[in-house]
Amino acid sequence: MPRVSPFALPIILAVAVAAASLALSNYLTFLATMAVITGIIAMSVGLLAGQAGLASLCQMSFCGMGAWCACWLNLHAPQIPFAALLIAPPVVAGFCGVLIGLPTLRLRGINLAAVTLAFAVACDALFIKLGFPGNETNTGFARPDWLADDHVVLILGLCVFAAIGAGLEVLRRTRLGSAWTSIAHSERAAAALGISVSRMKIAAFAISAAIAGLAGALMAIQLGTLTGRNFEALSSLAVFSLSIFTAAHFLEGAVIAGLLTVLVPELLRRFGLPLDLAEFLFGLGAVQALYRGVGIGGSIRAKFAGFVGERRKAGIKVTAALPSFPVHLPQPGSSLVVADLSVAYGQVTAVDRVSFEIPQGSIVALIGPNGAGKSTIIDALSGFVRGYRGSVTMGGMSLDPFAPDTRARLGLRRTFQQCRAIPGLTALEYLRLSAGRHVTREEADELLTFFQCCSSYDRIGSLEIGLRRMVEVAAAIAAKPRVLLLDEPAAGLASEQSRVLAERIAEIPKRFGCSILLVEHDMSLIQAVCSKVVVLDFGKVIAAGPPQQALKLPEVIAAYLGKEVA
Amino acid sequence: MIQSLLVGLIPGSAYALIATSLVLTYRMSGVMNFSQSVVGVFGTYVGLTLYGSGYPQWLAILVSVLVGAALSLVIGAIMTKWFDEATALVKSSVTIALMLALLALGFRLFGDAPRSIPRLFPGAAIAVGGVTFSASVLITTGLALTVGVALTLLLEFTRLGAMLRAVSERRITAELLGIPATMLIRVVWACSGALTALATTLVAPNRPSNFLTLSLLLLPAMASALFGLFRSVPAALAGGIALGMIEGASSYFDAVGPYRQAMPFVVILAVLSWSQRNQVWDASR
Repeated sequence: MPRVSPFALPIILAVAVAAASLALSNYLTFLATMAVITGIIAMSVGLLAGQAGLASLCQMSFCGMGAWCACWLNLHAPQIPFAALLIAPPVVAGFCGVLIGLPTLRLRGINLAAVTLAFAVACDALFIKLGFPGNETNTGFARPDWLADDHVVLILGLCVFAAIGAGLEVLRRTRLGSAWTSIAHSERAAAALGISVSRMKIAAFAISAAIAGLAGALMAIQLGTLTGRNFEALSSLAVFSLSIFTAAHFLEGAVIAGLLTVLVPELLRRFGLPLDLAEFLFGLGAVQALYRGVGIGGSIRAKFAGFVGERRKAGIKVTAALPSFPVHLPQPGSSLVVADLSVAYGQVTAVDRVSFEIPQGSIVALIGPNGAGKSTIIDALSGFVRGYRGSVTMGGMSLDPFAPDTRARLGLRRTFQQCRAIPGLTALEYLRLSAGRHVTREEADELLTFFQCCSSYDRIGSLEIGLRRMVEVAAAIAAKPRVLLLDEPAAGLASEQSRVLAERIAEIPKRFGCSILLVEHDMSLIQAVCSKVVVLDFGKVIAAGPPQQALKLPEVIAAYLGKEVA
Repeated sequence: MIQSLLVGLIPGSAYALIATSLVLTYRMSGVMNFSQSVVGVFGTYVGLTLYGSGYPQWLAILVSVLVGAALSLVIGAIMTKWFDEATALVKSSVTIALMLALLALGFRLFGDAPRSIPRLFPGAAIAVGGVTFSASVLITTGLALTVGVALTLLLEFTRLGAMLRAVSERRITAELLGIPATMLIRVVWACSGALTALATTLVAPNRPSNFLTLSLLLLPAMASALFGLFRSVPAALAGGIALGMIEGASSYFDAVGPYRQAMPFVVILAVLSWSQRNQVWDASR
């Protein structure tokens, strides 16, 4: 049987929809166009909120900017080609998105929501004050002749909708899409994978605002005359809620979002019920849909993915691999030299003039009782603690000026004590994101099998926690790091998994070349794999040396078991 | 100039009271409650309808407050029962959806036409050094301050306050200590609804008062609550009164007047950019 292109079905559907739309009455064409435009706006919200986890409540303002821009061009530069009317508004709106994104980079959750809502209100006021170009003269938006028929506008809208929907689907599979998913999960985890969080957030704002701006231009084309009322702050809220509960970052969610906004009022009208009930029903329906879990689009997608996943998994066998597995990613490891590192949180000195070295290609353990400062050291080395004193040098290069994502890209990778593998990605996507290059499926499967965690098709969210930790280590290795910092990789692992992990960690320098700093409580694991231990207590190094010697020192035993034993 | 600052005190106090309610519900349920003000307006309108059909004013106000409390209790129950473990995005969407539903219901029941709303304390005024303090300014501001101070004292120094703070910070631990967390949360929701209804009733005579514009009191209230990052009652109180007075002052300058609605955005952005300048990363470790 010939392989059917995955684009065949959408294309056939689109042609069918376009053909059917020609047969609609004028009234239905109007409704359908509205549905399409709402669907586009819902996608723009879905991209920011659903995909990147940024709650933006000013989407209608971006939309209004696009519409304003289109009206202005139409009024003052009627001679420019029509395509410019579809290009300029998204560019302007996208630029405004960047302007809003920049000052809000450090805001998240409800703070971001509140700022964007306030911005929406401000724009609302501005639109009403300024009016739209063409309003005074009552000319409105003048369509070119070929666009005079409403059916053509609808088809134009459908084309834009399809293009944006397909574009977002493609984008989701790229590094950008995976990066957004990871930012939504945890910004720290994203930075540790070498992703510049600020740049990704700005990109999300820009693209989403541009999409909304394009929708605005379409609104100008469809409606002709616009007022500030079309872009109220309240509508921004409504469209936000709508796209969360339909999961509009998925194409099918956006379709449902568009249909719902026109179908509900239309049905009420047909049954002779008052129209303002629509909002009421919509509100209750949204609450109900949210209660049932993921948005509608999300659950359709999950069912489909589950079905496909089942079929594919059958083809893959995860063998109980032996350490003789031929995985090899040659990359010269580097030494890491930590000199006089001090970290203070307010009055408390968490780390006090710590110095040690990880020689090239060796495994050094950093141990000490809880609260000794081990994780703080890892945070400082990987760049998450700002303003530490002392210096960190990797292979002769000072890392001090660099942010976490730059350090990660330079080859200093870390894992987290609380596993931060991104549940929304498949193992392959996660490995690719971490590696920052194209990892082939074979390569990924080899690496995953080496760590005995899962197949590359598995979604990380479906794995149990021990396996997720293994995937996290595998992803770090896929990035060909020079130095790898492992923060309690065996925490929460069953003893069998812990043993497998110890074997694999011991193999890492030989096979992959990188040096390792291992924070761990499991003494047998440490004695098995480490050439050196650094013992920490109250932020100071109290002992360092080969494990057999260092662990027997009386001050080390005292630190672990209490003073009276010493 | 001073007079316009004083005029700003009435909306300022209302912002402060609604902001306080927002802080309370946020700390209890971790949700930015978009439905807060519409609940208050609902209460106010029920009271107005009663007053219009001849009931005494005190009874109408009492009913307003009770309706606000009851509606808010229902929303609180929905949040605790169904959305306890939902993400912040989902929780916000729920309150937005409920807000839209209540707005629609409000239009249905009360219509969209502006109503004349009787002043609570007509006439009375004190003049000090050429500046007139009307009774409503004094009483409204006094009430906001009293509520704010009382709440702060309650939270900081009483056993109940300690329980509430415990529920807000470590819900599970509090429950393990035998604190009836769910019940407390719902009570707080009810109180916040009552407070909002009271604030709306106080400010309604000074506003263009149709159902929608009154519901949009939410926005300046949110700006005020952000002064304390939705966590601190005194900061929300101060923020509300400051915002009201800034608005009052800006109506004095003709050039700024038309852009009054943009004021909260500028204020919020400035406050947040300063207070969050060190928040480079999301959650701690």
